[in-house]
Amino acid sequence: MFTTQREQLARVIRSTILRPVLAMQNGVADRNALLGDPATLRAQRDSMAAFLVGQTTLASENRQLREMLGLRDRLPRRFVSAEVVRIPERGNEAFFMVTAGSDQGVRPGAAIVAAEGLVGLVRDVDSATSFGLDWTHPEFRASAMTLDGEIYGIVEPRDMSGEPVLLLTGTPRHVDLAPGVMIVTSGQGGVYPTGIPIGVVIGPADGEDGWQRNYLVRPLVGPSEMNYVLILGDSDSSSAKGQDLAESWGIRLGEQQPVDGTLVQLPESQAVNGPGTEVVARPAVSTVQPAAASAPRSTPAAPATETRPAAVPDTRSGPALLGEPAAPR
Amino acid sequence: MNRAGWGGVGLVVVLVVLHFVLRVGLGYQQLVPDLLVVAVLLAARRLSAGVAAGVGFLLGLLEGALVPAALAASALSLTIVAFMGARSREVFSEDNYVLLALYLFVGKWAYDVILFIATGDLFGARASYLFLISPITALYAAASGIVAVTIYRALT
Repeated sequence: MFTTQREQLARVIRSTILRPVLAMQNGVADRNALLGDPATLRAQRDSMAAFLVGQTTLASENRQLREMLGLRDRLPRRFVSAEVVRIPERGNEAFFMVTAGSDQGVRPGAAIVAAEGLVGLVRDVDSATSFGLDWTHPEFRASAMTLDGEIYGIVEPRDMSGEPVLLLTGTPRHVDLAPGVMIVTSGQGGVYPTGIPIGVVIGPADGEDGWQRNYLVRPLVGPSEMNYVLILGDSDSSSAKGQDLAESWGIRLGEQQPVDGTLVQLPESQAVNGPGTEVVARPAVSTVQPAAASAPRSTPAAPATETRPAAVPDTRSGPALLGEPAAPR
Repeated sequence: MNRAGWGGVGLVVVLVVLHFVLRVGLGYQQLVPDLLVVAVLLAARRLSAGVAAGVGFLLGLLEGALVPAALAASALSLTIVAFMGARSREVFSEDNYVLLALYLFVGKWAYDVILFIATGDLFGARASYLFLISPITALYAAASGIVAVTIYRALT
């Protein structure tokens, strides 16, 4: 209750005495966004243009296929773009101001993301500005899981020799997470939608907690990269749970991504192109109980051709991984 | 209130407005010295301890409103600094520029320390800030305070 009163008092001060200052700040942030670093903006525009040229027919094809299958159009998730403004020297720097508020559709508790992944969440909302905390804040917690959905845990901020990182806590002791495994939000708890990339595993953290293991995770969005962010707006679903945003980042849940770069030799009986040539990337997550790897999943994932190493031949005519069902073409 | 008294109030108001306009409004952030603390410290020299604490509290609320989680911490820090600043009149005279600079330097550094204690960052990852960056910002604040007082005295 006291916190609410404190925030109400701060809101009153911001909307009265400090209103001209904040209006000026928003104007300056907008101007800086317009004028700042044109080379980077031009490069981003060119990349987007090249991407869009390659995707021109995709939307119409997708619409036709959905019509053929009798599916309604999927409502896109709303994002509100904003600039981050930090107030140095004043308390915790993990707090920041963003140049969008309730007028733009920002709601308290909304997830803040960047092009690379999760940044934090909105804490307090004014009409034209909002305040959020990023993942370096001591109070930050997010329910997380590996990309294949096998291992769940909670990420919280940690300091690794002066470098801010995240700690994935509460993972089962009998499971090993290899360095490079991607961690995404799990959607549990209803704070963050499912599938927002958080970071990649660096390695096990010192000290084990009973029957659980902890891992250090390097976030995909560094503190210095939180300049331009997107705030998740309303969607067709009322709660964050059940919303899958993984595809927004070009990833697909349920896949074991070959991110550790370790190549394993398939037995000759499994080889497609002859002995000695068939190599695939080993799944980064290995479990003591191989049931998950050997039994076909109920919902097989489509092949992630973009994430396979270039040395991997096309194995779509046969099983890509041991025990993995062939994905539909 | 005499002319010098109004002039002192004007100096404090100008410093506070400059702080918010330059540091927050125009986004110059740490390129601009912490004129708010300088204003509180200079005002405290002319006010009783109670009134100075009140001024510090109000300005702390203003500053803290920009960082909701630090609202109380900012108000508390400036209140303590203003109170201690008012009591410092018993120790030295304002006519001595060296002592005034030292007063502003210590006051700004003390403000940072109290703020870090109040926000719980003293033993956190940012604790090194107090020993590496904070003294430099305190020096910057002291220099800007001396410049402000010099200009003020030249005008009045």
